[in-house]
Amino acid sequence: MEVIKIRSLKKIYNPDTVPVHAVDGIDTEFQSGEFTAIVGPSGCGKTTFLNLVGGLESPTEGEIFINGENISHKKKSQMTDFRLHNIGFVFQAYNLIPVMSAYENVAFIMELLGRPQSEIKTRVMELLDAMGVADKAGQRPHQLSGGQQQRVAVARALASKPKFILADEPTANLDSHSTETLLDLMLKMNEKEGTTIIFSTHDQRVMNKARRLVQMDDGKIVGNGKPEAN
Amino acid sequence: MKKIFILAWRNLWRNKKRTAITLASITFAVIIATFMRGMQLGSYEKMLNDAMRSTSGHLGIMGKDYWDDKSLINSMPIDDELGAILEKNDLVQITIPKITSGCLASFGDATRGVMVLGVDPEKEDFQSGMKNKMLEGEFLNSDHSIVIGKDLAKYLKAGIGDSVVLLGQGYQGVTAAGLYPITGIFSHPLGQLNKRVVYITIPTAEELFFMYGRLSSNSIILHDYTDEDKIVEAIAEKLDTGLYEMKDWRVMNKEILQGIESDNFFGVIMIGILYMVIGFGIFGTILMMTMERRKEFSVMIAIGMKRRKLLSVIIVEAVYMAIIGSILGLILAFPLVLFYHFNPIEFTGDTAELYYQLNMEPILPVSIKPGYMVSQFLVVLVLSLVASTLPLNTILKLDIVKVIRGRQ
Ligand SMILES: Nc1ncnc2c1ncn2[C@@H]1O[C@H](COP(=O)(O)OP(=O)(O)OP(=O)(O)O)[C@@H](O)[C@H]1O
Ligand SMILES: [Mg+2]
Repeated sequence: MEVIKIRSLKKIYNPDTVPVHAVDGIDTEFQSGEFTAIVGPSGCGKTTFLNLVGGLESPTEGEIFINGENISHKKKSQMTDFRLHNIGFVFQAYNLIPVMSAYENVAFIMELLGRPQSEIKTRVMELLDAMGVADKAGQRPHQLSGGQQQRVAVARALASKPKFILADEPTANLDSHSTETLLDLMLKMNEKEGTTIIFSTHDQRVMNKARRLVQMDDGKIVGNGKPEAN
Repeated sequence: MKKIFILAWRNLWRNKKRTAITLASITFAVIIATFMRGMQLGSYEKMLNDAMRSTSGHLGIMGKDYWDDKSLINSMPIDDELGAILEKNDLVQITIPKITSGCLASFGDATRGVMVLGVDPEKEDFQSGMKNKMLEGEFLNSDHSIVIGKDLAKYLKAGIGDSVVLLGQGYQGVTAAGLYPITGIFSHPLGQLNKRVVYITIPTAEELFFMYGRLSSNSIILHDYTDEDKIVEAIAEKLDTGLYEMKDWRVMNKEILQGIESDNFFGVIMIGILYMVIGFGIFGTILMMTMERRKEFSVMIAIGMKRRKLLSVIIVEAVYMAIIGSILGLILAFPLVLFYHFNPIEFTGDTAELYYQLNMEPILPVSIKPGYMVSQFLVVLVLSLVASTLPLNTILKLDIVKVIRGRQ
């Protein structure tokens, strides 16, 4: 089943002064349960592409359908709600709310969604456990390592069982060991929960973990298939 | 919803030092403002309680048209029932009846226009402390005698035992004329009174003016002037508005009221400036708290937290600061206010003398009316809400993509 469908997607920055074609005509789909890496040289448009799909930015042209629903023309506030209900995010940094414990950070999304406390508790502990940070549940972010923080962030992204998770260079700030652990855990959750995950990376070893590799250059998709390692 | 309060509370203590400094400044301002205001209001209360006591009274009952035309034709019949009601009312300290009319006073070759005050000697003494102001003789120890000011005595070249002729118009146009011996000479701190005032007893005035059973006015002195409304209410039913009229001190003592109002205005401005400075402090803190958290705010909005919810976190943070700071301030100010209420600041020297002369105690008690303390709290609350509006704007305008991309 196709979760995301993208048609003639374009994003032009500064159209009136020095136009930058950050995303320059992309057509593609993402199937349910995919584990996809977006790769390409710096400035090729990975972040822009993920932001468009996640509804953080609005496209200059083209359409994005999520579960058949066209999100390209939604208003800002509608998009916030849409993101809350449908999309999980993992960013490169500053993911977690500093004054909240790991547990509270993961629970936060479910609370915004108004889920009952009993459900929240089971789900959060289950996720922290799966991500190997159950023993850190009561710790604040500054008491966690970068890798642990990102694992909590992934747990948070998964908490509401979103339609898909977007992760823009989630491992960029991590050492190679933490990077590998995080990727393995993401892959595990992708298989276990069937969550569609799309992430971007520069890291060769990270892309090798992906099931599908989308190569970008200059705002366009220039390669699409399985990574060589698989 | 509960999360918002928890979140705000924890955020407040992220930078303990800064929050503590902001709280200290609010607390300090509230203490100063409360004390200043307490002193100011205390002085007004004192002025209203005491000054009204020695002048018009807090309320005055008079004939219907008396206020506009203070002639005896507009005097009022004594209403015993009304008098009894006032007598019985615990809020009323005393009622002071008066008959007032202009006359000519002559002795030998000298004649001068004077104000004749027909009074109850004890009550009059209570009101204006006349017995302590006597230079010679006694204050109205008998009917058919007069007590006059020292300057009038000098002008008339009359002394104790000399009989002065009073000539004027009585009730309903009859001629009022009488010959009365001087039994006392007084010296009043308000110089005009020494030149113009002649005291006689009420029975003597009734006789002189042919107005038996009538009064010019009856002033009511309350223990606490703020109970005025209750008295107005209590006698509203009994008061025959066809015959009588009731005036409060605001009407009867416009000058004092105006004095208080302009003094109050400057007091409020002073406190306003104080709070404005504090307001900028709160504003700065909230602005910093907002600006330095732009990254996490952006992530929160990205993952689906509505901006409006974020705003409420900031507002709650501001409200927390206001509540903690002002409550702390009030808690600390209260003993101070209480102490100076029960141990009032005492005037000394000439000021004290003047107060004594005006039949007022030379002290300045600080007000303990809860109203003004509550308003300090409300002012700080409103202030912090206002101070948090600009930071709110930065959240509404926050370009989360730019922040997340690290471009802002
Ligand atoms: N707000 C903006 N205004 C103007 N140009 C922008 C803006 N955001 C991004 N760009 C440009 O768009 C292009 C694509 O940027 P983008 O961040 O998507 O690349 P990226 O593939 O994520 O790069 P990296 O690997 O360095 O993160 C770049 O040339 C960038 O300079
Ligand atoms: Mg990028």
